[in-house]
Order: sequence, then structure tokens, then C-alpha cells
Amino acid sequence: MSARSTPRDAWAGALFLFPGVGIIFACVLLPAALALALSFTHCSRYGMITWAGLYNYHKLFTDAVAVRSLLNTLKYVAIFVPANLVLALSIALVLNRPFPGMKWIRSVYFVPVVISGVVAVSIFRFILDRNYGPINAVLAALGFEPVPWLWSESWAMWSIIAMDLWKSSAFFAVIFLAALQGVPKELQEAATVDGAGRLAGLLHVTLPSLRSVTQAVLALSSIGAFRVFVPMFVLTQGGPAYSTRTLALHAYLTGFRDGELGYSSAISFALLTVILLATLLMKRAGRRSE
Amino acid sequence: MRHGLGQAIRLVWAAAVALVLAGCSSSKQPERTSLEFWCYMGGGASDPTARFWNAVAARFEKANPNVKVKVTADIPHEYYMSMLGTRFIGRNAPDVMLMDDVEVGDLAREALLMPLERFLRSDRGYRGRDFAPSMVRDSYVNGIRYSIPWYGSFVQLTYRTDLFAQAGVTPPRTWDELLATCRTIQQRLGMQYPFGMDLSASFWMINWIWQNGGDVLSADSKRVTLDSPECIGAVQFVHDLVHKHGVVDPGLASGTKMPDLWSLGKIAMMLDGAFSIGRYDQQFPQWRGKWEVAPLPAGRKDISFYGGAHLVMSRRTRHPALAWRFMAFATSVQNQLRYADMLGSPPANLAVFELPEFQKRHPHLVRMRRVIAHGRNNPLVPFFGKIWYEMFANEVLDVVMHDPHADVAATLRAANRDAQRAADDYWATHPKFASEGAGE
Repeated sequence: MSARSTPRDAWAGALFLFPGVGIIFACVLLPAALALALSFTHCSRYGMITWAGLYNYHKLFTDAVAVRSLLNTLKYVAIFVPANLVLALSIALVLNRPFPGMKWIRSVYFVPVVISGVVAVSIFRFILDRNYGPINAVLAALGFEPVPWLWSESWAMWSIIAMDLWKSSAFFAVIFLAALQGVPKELQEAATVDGAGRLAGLLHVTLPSLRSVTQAVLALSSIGAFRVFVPMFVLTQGGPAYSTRTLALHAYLTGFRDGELGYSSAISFALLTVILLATLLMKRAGRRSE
Repeated sequence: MRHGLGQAIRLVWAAAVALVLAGCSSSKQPERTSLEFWCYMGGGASDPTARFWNAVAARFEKANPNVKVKVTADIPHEYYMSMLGTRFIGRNAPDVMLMDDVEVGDLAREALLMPLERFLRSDRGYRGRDFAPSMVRDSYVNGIRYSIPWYGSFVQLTYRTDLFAQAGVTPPRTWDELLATCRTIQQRLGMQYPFGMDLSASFWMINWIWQNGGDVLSADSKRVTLDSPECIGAVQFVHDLVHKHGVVDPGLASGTKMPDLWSLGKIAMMLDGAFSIGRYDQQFPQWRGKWEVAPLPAGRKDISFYGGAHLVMSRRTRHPALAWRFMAFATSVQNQLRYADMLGSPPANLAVFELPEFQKRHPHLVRMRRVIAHGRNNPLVPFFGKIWYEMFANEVLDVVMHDPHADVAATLRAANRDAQRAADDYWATHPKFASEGAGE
């Protein structure tokens, strides 16, 4: 039997590839190309299209709300991603140690991941309610004034970040947990024999072993954070005073509420560019640290 | 035998011909014409909108036996225009649609709606003069009639009659009286914040601005006028009600909900919309028979909001005459009375207000009849929503209503600059509309 592939094999290969490539083309590449084309037009929500050239991209720089949305997105990413990483790793380290009821506790920690995003946000809307929320009830019992968690410029973004950490950290904790269980015990034992304490073992043995997983978690977490939409959409609609308006929400509201589909597409491509740049930077930083 | 076989063949042949002829004869039932109608859901799962429109469709089908009306009435308001948009892009919009007045202009300018003049001219049964004049004015885009009024809402002062009687006060008619009434209630009933209004939603604020002689846009809708002394004065007045005079709960700017205060009896009066009148007794049974409505206290001018929803016809409908008949049927006195009975909302057909049964069943709506005569609508330019409901809410209300020491004038001037940019952007990207003017 010859190892060289024949034209017939190539055709067969192409045939097998066709469904996957076809779906990616029809559902990802084609819509993306159409959206890119749309970003150079003025397109109403009822389909009237006129050529706009670079108008929508120029508008991105003069639209104060777009600039504010970008800053809010960067703020969210800058706080959420490191906090998520630390929290997920901490949970994984705790759950990695044997203790009674460990399996049950692990399952409980995973519950927030299983709950749908909108349901989780709705639960938090009740928890953070100014007048009837349990958090403010506890504060009132302790003699404090109620906090307008979602209605104050200074609190709203922090409240949403806290909710998202609760929702996401468990997922990444499971990834870290799986990686931790793959760290060879002999390495830790050797470090202990060499006189390393718990902290030194963690810093010099465990964490370096998790480098590739950490990079993956960082990338996934960052991409998700740049695209954050649901909590802002459901809880605050980007307010108060635009304090929780992110680029993804800005693109949605501009397109589907204000009916400016061309400009909305331009915002989406700006967001895509930001995500690509951030991913490239992380990749480069990862290579350097290796 | 052969004779018998021939006869049988002839019989079968005759039967077959008879069957074919019967199939082609005029006695065949004509195919039913299908008409599609869309409206948005009023709010909540128990919303009776779908029930009402299905009943209208059933009555229309009974009067027109060969017609089938397909009703879609379960789309929430916030997604309605987006979903309709996909139908328009797909060139298969419903024949007849209900929509807010502000949406009609864009669709008409994009030539997606059917002009209605020819139907109005030929249909002597449709009594256009029975409808609120301001809503009829809102039905025109660049001098052409594209819609007919369906429902007109107003803004009212809703107050507790028992508390007013205890405090010995009557509904305030002016801004000065509003403040005085609040003070009296505070003193006599010990109520901390007698007056309630949603401080985070722009919808209510425009009434104060109009009453103070101001407006959000210039007459041609090209210039934003949030920085006018009248606008600044109106916002300052509301800010003072909260932070200087202390008659409105400041929590209403940051998460406290007015229905909660009303339900607990923590306010004696509130600014509310006609759409709520039909729900009060069901929502707050504890105050049944203890509330009443009154026009808003007047400032320099006695104006308040009056606007609502219209019926429109798709330009691509294959049955324009039938679609018109359905529109006229839906807005008839009988159907508008049924609408008021089912939803407790004010109908646009004012002839309904003259019916004794309406007057008996809807005394609150009847009392507000005079507001309809001098009510006015928001500007019907497409970018008004962005300027008012988004920019004003985020850049003015979210800032000044939270802060007792806010510089109202400076905040409005800054917001005006941003809003003007949004208006300029709209006119720059819609040059054809700009040359036509706002058009309403």
C-alpha cells in the first residue's frame, strides 16, 4: 500500500472537511465579512443603506460615550481578570487538599457555573436591591444606611464585578484543580526534602507547573471580560451616568435600540481589534516568561 | 352483456366528468384571505393585550367570513421594533401594525408604510374628527398621512383622597401650590416625603420643562435647547423639591421604586401615567376607593404630555383595502370602548368619552378629558429617544438628582453639547431627511 496520497484521497479529504468549513464560513466568516462591510455604511434598522466611508470609524473617536465605554471595559478587564485568576487559584488550592466532604464542597462551588447568566444576574438584582435586598437588610441591622449598589456611579461597576467573580471563578477553579492534580507529587516531596516550606513549595514548584494553564485561563478570562454584556444589560443598562456602559453594550444599544447598524458594526470591530491586541500582548508576554 | 358493459363505462365516464365539473364550478368555497396584524405586549404575562386583539380579530372575521386575521401580540415592547425591522428587511412586514408615534416617521421616510389618504377619502364610515387633534397631527409625515391614532396616554397627578381630606388640602394646581400642599401634609400628617416622582427616568421631566416654557428641541428639531433658562429652571425646580425643600424622597433617584412607596402609604401623591390608572385597584387593593387623579400642577404654562400609539399599514400589503377595513374596525367606538374596559387605558377615539357606559365605568379617565385637549407630544424625530431617554438620563438625572450640591446649569450645558453632537450626527447621516425637515 502506497503512503503517497492520490488526487482521489485529496478529494475525499476535502469532502470530509466541507461540512465543518462550510458551517464556519456560513456562520462566522460570511457574517463577519458582511458586518465589516456594514461598518462602512449608514444602515437603518429597516434596511436603508447608504455609503459612509470611514465616517463610523471617525465617529468612534468623537463619540464621548464610546470613549467612556472603552475606558469602562478596560477598567472591568483590569480589575476582573487578575481578581478572577487569584480567586480561582485560591479556591482550587483549597479544594485540592483532602478533607471530609471534599466532593460535596467541590460540587457546591461549581453551582454558579451551571446557573444561566440571566438567572444569576436576576438573583443578584434581588440581593442588591436598595430597599429589599438582604445585603442592605444586614447593613440596616448593623445601623448603616442602605447602599445603592446598582444606582450609584461609584458602586455599580464594583457590584457587577463582584457578581461576575462569583459566577466565573468557580469555572476557572475547576480548570486549575485539574491542573493541580496533574502536578507530580514527587516534585513537591523533593522540595520538602530540600527544606522548602509550604509557601516556597507553592511559589517555586506548584505555580511554575501551572504556567501553561494559567496562560490559557488568562486568555479565556480576558476575552470573556472584554466582551462582558449580560450583567450590564440586565442590571443597569449601562448606567448610572454611563458608569457601567461597556463597548459590547454600546454596540448592542447603538445597533438594536438606536437603529444605527453601521456604527454598531464599527464599534464591534473596534472591540474585536482591542481583543486581538490584548491577546497578542498576552501571548508575547507568555513567550517571554518561558 | 356487452350492452351492459358499455352502459357501465358510460356511467363511470359521466360520473368522472360530473366530478371534474363540480370541482371547477362556482359553488366551490372561495379561499380565505389572510391578514397579518402585529402589536406589542403591554407588559407582564397576564397582560390582556393578546386577548383583546384576538377578540377584535374574531369579530372582524365574523363580519368578513372569508378573512382570517393572524394576530401576534406577545412581543415585549423593548424588542418589538427590532423584530419588526427584520420583517421589513425581509420585505414581508405584517399587513397592519401597531406602533408608538415616534417610530412612524422613520418607516414612512424609508417608504415602507402605505399612505392612507385614499382610504380616508373613500371611507365615509371612518370619523377622523372623533380622534384627538394632536394625535391626528402626529399621523402626518411631511404632509402625508401614514397612521391613525389608536391609544393616547397622558400624565397625571395621582393622590390619596383620604390623606388629602385628613390634611385638609386639595390637589395643587400650580407649582407654588404643590410645594405648599407638601408642606401642609408634612406638618399635619407627619409624612416625611409627601410627593413622589421617578427621578431616574427622563419621561416625566419633559412635563416640567414644557410647563416652564422650555423645550428639548427647537421647532425644526435641528437645535438642542437643554441649556435654555427655561430647561435649567425646570430641572432646578425638581432638584429643589428633592434636596432643598425635602418633599421628595431622594432615594427615588437611586433605586427606591415609587410603586413601593405608594403601596406602603409613604407618599400622598405621585406623578404617574394614564397607563397605570387601570391597574391601581388590582395592584393596590388597600387603596381602593381612596385615590383620585388630577391634572399636573401648572407652571408658567398649563401643558402636559399626551401621545401614544398608532395603527399603520405596510406598503407591501397585498390587501390594502382589507387592511384599511381592519384598521377602521379596530378604532371604531365599540372596539375602543372594549379596549378601555379591558385595559383601563384611555382610547384615542374621543367619541368613546361621550358614552354613558364609559363615563360610568371610567370616571378617572373622564376627569382627565381636558388634559387631552391641551396635551402635547414629544418631538417625533428618531434621535429624540437617544437624546432624551439616554443622554438626559445618564448625563443630567443620574448626576444632579443624586447630588444635593449639583450645579444644575453647568450639567445641562455640558449635556446640551453632547446632545447637539448627536442631533448633528443624525442630520449629517440623513441628508435627505434634513432637506425635508422634521416633517411632523
